[in-house]
Parts: sequence; structure tokens; C-alpha cells
Amino acid sequence: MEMARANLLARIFLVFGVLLILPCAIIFQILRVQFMEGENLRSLWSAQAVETINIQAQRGNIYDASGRILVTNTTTYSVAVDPLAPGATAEGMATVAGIIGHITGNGSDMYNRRIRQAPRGARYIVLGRDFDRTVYDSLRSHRLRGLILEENYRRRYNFESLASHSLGHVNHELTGMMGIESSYNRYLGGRDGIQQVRKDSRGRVKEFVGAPRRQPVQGNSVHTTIDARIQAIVEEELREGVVRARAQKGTIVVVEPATGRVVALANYPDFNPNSPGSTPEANRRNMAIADMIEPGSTFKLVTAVAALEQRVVSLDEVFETPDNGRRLIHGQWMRDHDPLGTLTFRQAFEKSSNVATAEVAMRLERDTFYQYVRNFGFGTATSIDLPGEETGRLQQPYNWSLVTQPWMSVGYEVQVTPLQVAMAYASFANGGRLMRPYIVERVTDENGRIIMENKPKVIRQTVAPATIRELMPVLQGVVSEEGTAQFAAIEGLSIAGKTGTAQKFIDGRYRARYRASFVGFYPVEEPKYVAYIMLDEPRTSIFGGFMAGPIFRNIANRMMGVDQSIQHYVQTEISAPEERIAPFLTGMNIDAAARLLQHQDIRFSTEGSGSFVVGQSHRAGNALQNGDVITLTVSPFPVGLAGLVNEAEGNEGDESNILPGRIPDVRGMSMREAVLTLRRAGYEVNRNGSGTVHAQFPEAGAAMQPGRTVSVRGRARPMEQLVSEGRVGR
Amino acid sequence: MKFTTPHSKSFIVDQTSDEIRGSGSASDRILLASVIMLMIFGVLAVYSSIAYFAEAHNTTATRLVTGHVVKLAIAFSVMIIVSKIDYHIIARFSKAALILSWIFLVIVTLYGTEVFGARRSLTVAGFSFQPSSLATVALLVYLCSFMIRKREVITDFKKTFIPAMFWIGTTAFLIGIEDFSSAAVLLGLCFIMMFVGRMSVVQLGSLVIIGALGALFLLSQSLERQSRISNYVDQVIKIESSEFVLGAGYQAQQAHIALAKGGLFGVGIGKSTQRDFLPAPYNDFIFAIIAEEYGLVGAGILLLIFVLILIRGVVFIARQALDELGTLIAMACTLTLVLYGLVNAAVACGLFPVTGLPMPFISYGGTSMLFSAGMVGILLNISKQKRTEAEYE
Repeated sequence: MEMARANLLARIFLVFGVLLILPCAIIFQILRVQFMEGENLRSLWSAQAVETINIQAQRGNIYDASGRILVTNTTTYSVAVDPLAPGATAEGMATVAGIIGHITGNGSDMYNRRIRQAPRGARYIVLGRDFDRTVYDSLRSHRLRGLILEENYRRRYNFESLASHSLGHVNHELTGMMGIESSYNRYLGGRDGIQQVRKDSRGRVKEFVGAPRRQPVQGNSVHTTIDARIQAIVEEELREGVVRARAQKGTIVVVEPATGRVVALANYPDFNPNSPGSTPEANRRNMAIADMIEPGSTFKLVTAVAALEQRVVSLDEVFETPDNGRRLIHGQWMRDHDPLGTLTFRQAFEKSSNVATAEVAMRLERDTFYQYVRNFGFGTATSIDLPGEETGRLQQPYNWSLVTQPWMSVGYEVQVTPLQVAMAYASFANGGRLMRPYIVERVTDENGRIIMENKPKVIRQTVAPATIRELMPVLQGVVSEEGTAQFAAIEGLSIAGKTGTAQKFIDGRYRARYRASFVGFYPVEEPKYVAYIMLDEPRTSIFGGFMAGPIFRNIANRMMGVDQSIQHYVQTEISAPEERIAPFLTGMNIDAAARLLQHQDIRFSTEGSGSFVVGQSHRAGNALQNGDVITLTVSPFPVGLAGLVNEAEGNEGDESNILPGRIPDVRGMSMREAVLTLRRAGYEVNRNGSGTVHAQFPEAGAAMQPGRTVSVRGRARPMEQLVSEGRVGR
Repeated sequence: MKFTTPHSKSFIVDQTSDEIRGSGSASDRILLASVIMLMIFGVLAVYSSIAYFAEAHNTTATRLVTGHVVKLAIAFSVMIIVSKIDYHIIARFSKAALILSWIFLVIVTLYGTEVFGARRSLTVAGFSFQPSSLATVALLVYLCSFMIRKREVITDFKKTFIPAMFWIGTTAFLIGIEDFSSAAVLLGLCFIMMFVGRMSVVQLGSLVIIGALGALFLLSQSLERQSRISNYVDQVIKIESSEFVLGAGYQAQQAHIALAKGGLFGVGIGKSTQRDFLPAPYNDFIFAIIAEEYGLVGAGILLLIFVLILIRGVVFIARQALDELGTLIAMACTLTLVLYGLVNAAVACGLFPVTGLPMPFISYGGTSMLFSAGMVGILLNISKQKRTEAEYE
């Protein structure tokens, strides 16, 4: 036993000793590497030290509510060569120089010289930038070794200034700086790829190392709630309204009361996001959410709702207003725009009597009134998905002075944003639900899968349905012969609303400068749109009813051409039976337009050839006389909206190269374009990969029955590299 | 022979009663501390080296490292649980575990998940599992209990040597189909254990001679094998530093560059650049990354931890174990842990050819960590049951 144990221990320690050799050998080896060969190995390291550069990812598109591309990218190409790449030949380099020289018109000599005179060992010689697709195609077709083609993107706002404040713009690094571009930057931006490069001592790229280490991932698409046609109408009317009133600026917000979707949002002056720097910074301000203004009489809705629900007044209660139209309240004069004499509360609202409204407001408990103001969403951000929103300014009741409550009841001593007013009226219009406004419907990836979606969200109940029923006729009365907004009325269409004329408070006192506003919604039976219109410092007249009312009427009128369903609400016995309204046809496919017109029994003729309607002789929303013939201008390319927008190029692809029953060539297109093109040609698409299409099956030009499937293979975009890959074992 | 859990007050084992020392002795704190230090080292090194892998798999290094930490936590729990189980019970079940692992190995060879052209792991419900780790532990523990059982006839060729060869040979063959290096290391470990278990030196010696003759025969049959061997020898003798090697010596040279760049104190946490050039820097070449980031000092500390484990395992736990079974199992577990660690380091320095063996508690990966933890658990249990000092008198 003892012997056995001794034997065991001896063997254990022998193994132990032998095993200790290994760590000693390892340390010895490290020392040997570090001290004997260290210098050489470190110089090898510096020779292979690489840096990484980003490969720009393609930013996602932004669409309007019916799928029009509002914002996309244009692609340019830069061409470089690597004469030392394996397989690269002098003839190949000469070919590249020849093609570039031919296209630029500089001749091949210049480029040959550039390649020859490059520093010795240079492996990244840039020959030119900002080339278009044709250069890319012709160079690629030669399948040359040592050719480096890079894609660069530029943001393209198809409709120039349309919806500029909502869309925002990007900076030179393609990061969103405003609007949706900024608030949805995370989704739009995609993810840049990474390329390893070797740089020379001056920090210029000397050589690309291997294939991209990470492929860029294309950004997601953002689908907005904006209807480009309504937006176009709204912008046009706003601009005309501002010019007509000789106002400084103006804002219009159109929302869908049932959901809180923002259908249109316009500020004038505006800017062109394609070149944001060319306009003063003030133009880029989204006044609809970023300006805090005293709302004026539009705020009386809150007072009326509070007073009726608290039963401190009835609509038929009679008020005596002073003969001179003004009353001293706690030492300050409350004025009406005109002396209004004896009138009921209903009339006081329709005619916008400040004196009577203030009198009613003072019957309310201070905290109760404050609570109603809060409930309608004032003093809190609406949480719209746009950056830079202001909350407005609403003082706590314990900070109120004696005059705060009466003045607030007529829309002073409180600051609000135009959007807050629109949402407050939207809540009144939709049965009392204050909605969270939103401008982006959903975000989808390139397969159309929904990544993020905004759904209508009720914030709270602001007003009881019984109160709405009671007050609705009064708001309708505002838009009538009796009310302040008779210019907003449209014959046969039931509209409710309220005007506002607010004196501006500048440098500590109220001046003879005004904001004229009107907020209305229609059709009253089932409100579909709420529109808030505000003109800043109008000079031809200061009154909201005179200045903002007609803009509302024009917009509502013209929108009937876009949203045909509104026409059902128009009382037909009032409007002449033979009178029709021209629909909005521009931008439609000619077949669809023809169907629509035939359906409505409107005669039309066409001008030009192609399949897209680019113009119409009768403006959308205008009345048509019996016998009128609408002339449609057609073109092979879809273009911008109704003369307001410039030609939007390239966003739908070239229709003409698609032969019926032939498969179009989609190579080199983005996956999105390719799918669109193939679907238009009637084929199903089977997609592999993402980014740029680099192969398709069957091939372009092959005859195939529509309905069959075309397979496309994508390669994640940028950095089309024909340089053979330099490193082994990577 | 009757085994009870260590929680019960008395043990009835095959020792005379005066040799029995009850439970209550604390488990080996120094061993535990060494393992925790290894784990910390591993988290840092994995975090720094896994970025490339993360990018390639469309995830972030942080997420992968979080996964690594979770696995470490699981492994730690396994270690604690195993340390509560009497090693005699583990020894009893080792045969069943070994047979089970054979079945797994066969299944893996036929249906396993392919990684780098080799089928080594089984993916069940999203978890991948390498049966070769189970087989290694099971075989070693079974070999120990086998030798204890044959104690009286330990040098008998027919009764001991042949059965041992059967168990070892079958296991090594099944592992070796897909994973030659693991099988080779296992054979080495078994050989050492048979030596420690006092099997006949003559028999073991002849085994070595037969093995050597077999290897020479295989070499003589193929020029390619000869050139690979001579290349390897050249590579160990001469460190190529004058020009880039693209090909067989690429990995070794890149590892050497990492070592050279590290110097005495390293380039700093997370500043490795060689991780972009070395394959699987979070596993096979993690030692090179450690040497680059923490320098000679860091690498030396890491090696010292392994030496510390070796000392604790051999000098304290194995020597003071309650019975001979404890001694042998403690030796087996210690040698496995330390040999894996040192072989991995030796590969990263270019001393050994590339094996793909993980460094215990350092490398990224689940199964091997789990079984390493299990082995430490066994060691801790053995250390708790050590015999009294009086026995040595």
C-alpha cells in the first residue's frame, strides 16, 4: 500500500514537472518573437495597417399617402482604376481612359496621362466623379480588371418645395436635419457599409483592401399621411392668399379629425429642400408646430364648451354689450370689433363678441376653466412625429392675474401652435376625442414588410357628445350670412368653423398688427377634414373671416376634385344639376383618368402621346358647364403636380423601353425600381438579396408571358468592385 | 461499496476507517479565484476580438459579449452544482455517460451542423452542443474508475491494458472522424492518465513505439504529409519576418505580428488590430489577441493562472484526495484544463500547428466552457473531501 502510494505520487510529480515545460516554452517563444524578430514584424504590421472608410448606404424613399415618391435619391458614379490589381492590363486602363474621355469630351489623353503620372505604386487613381448611369453601364460591360466604380447618392426631392417643412432636408452627410428626414432619420438612414483601405502618408486612399468588410444596408421607406395633391392645392392657395392679403407669412394645417392624420401642412414662405441653403433660415421654420401665437377668437370654442358643460350659460341667454362696443374689466378695456348691441350667446359666438364671451368666462371657476383648456391639448405638445414642436404657453391658475381668465377666454394670455388649434377643433369634429396627430403612416423595409406603424391614438375625451350636438349649429352659423366667416361658405356643403383675429403682442404691448385665422371642418354630417389657416400681418384686411375664409373655401372646393366622396355631401337641390366639378387628373394614368371621366359622364380629349396625364385644361375642383370638354395633356413620363411642381424626373423609370411580352432589363436598377418595372410589365418578381440588381433570369428581352416570375439577384449597393481581392485567408 | 451525498454526516468508502475524514473541509478557494480571473480575462478579450465576427453576423459585439457573460454565469452555476455532487457518484455514472456520448458522436457525424467543413456540433432547439466535450470528460473519469477497479491486476496485459485500449480507442476514433486535434489531445491525456494510474511502463512504452512506427509508416506513404511536417518544423525554428506569407504560414505570421506588436505592456484594451487579420480571434487565436493588447505581462499573468491551477490541482487536490479515485480524477481534470489552455497558447505562438482547441473559460463558445466548469466542479468536490494531515505520517 505504502509502495503503491509512493509510486503514484512519484508518477504524479513527474507528469507535473514535464507539464511545466510548456508554459516556459511559450514564454520563451514570446520573448523570441518580440526581441529577435520584433523589429521586422512590427514593420510588416505597419505595411498592412489598414483603415476603414464608410460605404454610403442608400437612404430610404419618402412616399405620400397614395404611394407617390416624394423623396428619393439620384445616383452618381465615380470611376477609379487600380493599375496594379491582378489581371489589370495596360490595354484595359487605356480602354477606361478612352471611354471616360469620350463621354466627358476631354479626350482619352488626359486620362491616360493621369494614370501614367500617378505616384508610383498608387492603387486608387480617381478619373472622375458624378458620372451618370450610362458611364457606369458602358464601363461595366467591358468587365475590366482593376476598375473601381463607386456609387454616390444625392437626395432628390421630386416635387421641389412641395411639403418642404414636413419632409425637411438633409445635410451634406445625408443626415436628416429637419422634418421627417430628421425624426425618421433612424429608419431612413440605413447602415453604412465598411471598406478597408490603405492610405498614403497624406491620408488619401491608396488601395482598397479586399471586398467590403460590411455591405451597406439600404434605408427603410417612410410612407407619410400627406396627400401630395391636397398638399399642392393647399400650398398654392396659401401662396395666393398670402400675396393677396399682402401678409408676411401664413400657415395651413389640414388634418383628418377621425384619425389625427396630417393630410397637408404648409407654411409660406417655403424653401426647396434640394438646395436648403439658398433660402433664409426663417423660411425653413415649420410655423405650424414651432410658432407660439395667441390664437384670438378661435379659442372661444374652449370657452363655449366649458360654459355650456358647466351650465353657467345657455345658448339663448341674452347679453347686453355696451353701445361703444367695449367694457372695462379689472381696469382693462375689452373690445369688440364692432359694437354688437343686444345679442344671445349663440349670436355672440357667431359674431365673435369678446365682451359677451368674457362675461360668460368669468362665471367659471378658475381651475375648471384651466382644466378645459388643458383638456383640449393646450399647454402640452401634441406629440406629432416631427421635430421641433413647441408646447405653447399656458400659465398655472395660481399665476393668473384678474384679467387672465377673461382675456384667455377670447384667445389672449395663452400661446398655442397652429397644430394645437387644429387638433382641438378636430376633437370637436370627431365626437370629442383629442387625437395624437401623426404625419407618417408606416415605415417599410425594401420587401414592403412593415417595420413601424403609427395608429390613430386617442389622448382623451375633450367634450361631451351632447355639448357637440348643441354647439355644432352655432359653429355652422359662423360660416353663414349671419356669422363672421361667410366667405368660407360653399353652397350646398355644410361647414362649421370659427374665425380668429388676434392682435400681435410685440415688445411688451399689443400693436396694430394682426393675425387673421380661420379653422373649419366639413362636411358637418361626418367631418372628413379640419383645416386651420393663419395669415400673419395681412394688410388688405385684418379679419380672419375676410382673409383666411376665402382660402378655406378655395381649398375645400378644389379638394372635392381629389376626394370625390365629399361631393356626396353636397346638397344637390341647391347646386345646379348640370354643374359638375372637374376631378384631379394630373399625375394619373391615362386609362384610369379616362375611366373616371366616362364614369362621371364628362367629355374629354387628349393632347400628345404617352400614358401619363401631365396637365388638364380645367383645374381640379372648378365647376364644369354642360358641354365642357376637358383637354388632357399626356406624356410618356409622369411629371409633377398641376403646374405647381416642376418635372419630377426619373422616379418612375422609363416606360418606353418596355416592350409588351418582353422582359425589361432591370440590371443596375435598385431592387425597388426593378420590382416596380417588372410588376408594371406584368411579371411576378422573385427577389434574392438586396441593393442593386446585378443579375436577372430570364434575361432582358426574352419573351415571356406576363404573370410568370422573373428572378432578380441583388448585390448590396455601392462599391462595385472589379478589383480582384487582394488578401488570402480573409 | 456504498456512496452517499457529501451532505450526510458520515462516509462509507473502501478505505479503512482511520483514513476517513468527514466533510466540512472548505473547497479550494485559490482554484475558484483562478477560474474567476480566467473568466474576467476572457470577457475582455472576447469583447475586443469579436467585433468582426459580430459584423459578419449582423449583430453587435455587445450583444455577443452579453451572451458570453450569460454562458459564463450558467457555467459558474454548473460548477457550483457539480461541486456539491460526490465525485464517487459521478465516477459511477461515467460509463453510461461515455456510451451516451458515443451515440451522440455517431449522430453528429451523420446529422451534425457543419461549421468550416467539419461536423462537430448538434443543434437542438437553437442550442448547439459538441458531444466531443462530453466524451472527453466521460472517458477520462471512466478511465480513472476503471483503473481503480483493476487495481489488483493493473499491470495485467489482458485484463487491464486491452479493455482500456478498447474504451480509449473507440472514443478517440469517434471524435477523430470530425475533429482530429481533439482526438489527439485526448489520446495524450489518456496516455498520461494510464501512466499516473500505475499501468505497466513496459506496456505504455511499447504503445509509444508502435505509435511512432505507425506515424513513420504513414509519413513514408505520402510526400504531402512529409512536406507538411517539414514545413511545420521550419516554421517553429525560423520566424518569417522579412516578407508577408500568404498561404500555409499566414496565420502563424499574423499571430507573430500580434505578439511583436504587444511588446511588454500591450497596446491597450480593445486596441488590437491583428484581430482583423487572424481567423477566429475570439477562439483559436485569443491568446495572440491577449498578448497584443496586454503585452508580455498580460500573457504571462494568464499563463501563471494556468500554472496556478496546475499546482492547486496536482500538488494540493490530487495529492490530498480522500482516496486514489479522487487522486486520479483530480489529475485528469487538472491536466485537461491546463493542457487545453497551454496548447491553445502554444498554437497562438506558433509552437504547435493550428488545432482549433478552445482556451478554457477564455474562448467564446458554450459547450467547452460548460464542461470545463464541470471539471472544476469535480475538482472542488474532491478538494472538499481531502484526507487529514495525519495520514501522511
